[in-house]
Formats: sequence, C-alpha cells, structure tokens
Amino acid sequence: MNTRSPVEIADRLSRKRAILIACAAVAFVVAQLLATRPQTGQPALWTLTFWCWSMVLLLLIATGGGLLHQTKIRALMNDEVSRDHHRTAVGAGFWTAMITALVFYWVPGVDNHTARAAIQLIVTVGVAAALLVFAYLELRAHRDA
Amino acid sequence: MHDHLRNRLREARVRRNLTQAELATLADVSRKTINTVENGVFIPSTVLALRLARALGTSVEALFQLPG
Repeated sequence: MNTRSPVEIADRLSRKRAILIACAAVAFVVAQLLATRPQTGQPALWTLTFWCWSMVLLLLIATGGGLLHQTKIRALMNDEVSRDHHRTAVGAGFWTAMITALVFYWVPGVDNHTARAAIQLIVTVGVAAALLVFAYLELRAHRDA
Repeated sequence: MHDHLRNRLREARVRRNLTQAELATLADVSRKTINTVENGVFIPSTVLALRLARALGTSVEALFQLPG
C-alpha cells in the first residue's frame, strides 16, 4: 500500500522527470551526431525518426509531462516554481535556436547544406537547450529539499 | 538570498516544528517550491505568499519584507 502523501509522490516524480528530461536531451543530440554521415548525410528513415522524436520532445516541453498522473499530483509537479522554470527554459530554447540560425547563416559552405539539414540543426539545438535548462533548474530546486 | 526580497519563511516554519514537506502539504504546493522560496532563489507570487502565510498562521508582511 502506498502511504506517501501527494507532496512526496510529486516530489519524487518531479525529480525523476528532471533526470529523464536531461537524458532525453542528451540522447537526442547524440543520436543526431551518430546518424549524420559527412558524405551521405542522414538515412531517410532517420529524418522520420527525427521528426517524430522532435514532436514528442516538443510535447514534453509544452505539457511538462506527467499526463498519466492524477490531477492533484500533476498540479504539484507543475506548480508555480516549475511553471517559472518552464518559461525560462522555453525562452532559453528560443534564443539558442535564433543564435544557432544566425551563426549557421554565416558558416562557410552553408550553401552546400539543404534547408532540411538547417532546420534539423536549429530544432535540435533549440529543443535540447530548452530541455536541459528546464532539467537543470528543476534539479537545482530539488537540491537540499 | 534575493536582493529585492527578504524572507523569514524558514524561521517561521522551524518555529512551528514543520518540515518542508509538511508545510508544502499545508500550503498545497511542492516541496521544491518551499525550498526555493526559503533559499531566496524564487520570489513567490502574491497568491503563493498568501497561501504560505495562511498555512503558517501569520501575515505576508511577517514572512516577506523589502530590504532597507
């Protein structure tokens, strides 16, 4: 029987969520690097995988996850502090994506890249930055709690 | 501690022999919220400040003050 209070359950799930989000962001970036071949680009299947994976991570950013948990638990997981972290993380993701796009614009040989490759790079960096910032802020908030 | 707001949340909580988790339950917030407010990392909204004050049976002004 589970005798833990909703606060304790939300605390544990929130910590777990932050760790999973950090791992998902790192895995997303690493998979991109591993899937890219300098000569041949990326396999066709990977572009579909990338698209689906990006959508899942964006959904995670948009909702904060925990959709299967009780409303009470979910409200505690996404309370005022988490919503503040969420806003900061989305802002960080946006600015990282913008800076990546502007830097990429001036990279020598950029004309050799397809528009799809450029979009993929910007989305990857933006999504990963948002997830990592959120995970960092959440884990920092849990420290000493 | 945040430069723009001093808080005595930890002192008030300890005075009432409450853990962070117990205060979180009373105020209906997460434990990390209590932690970040106590450490001055997060400035609470008016609603959260009122809930914390109510949970501790005190006033918002007793918990949070402007410096100076």
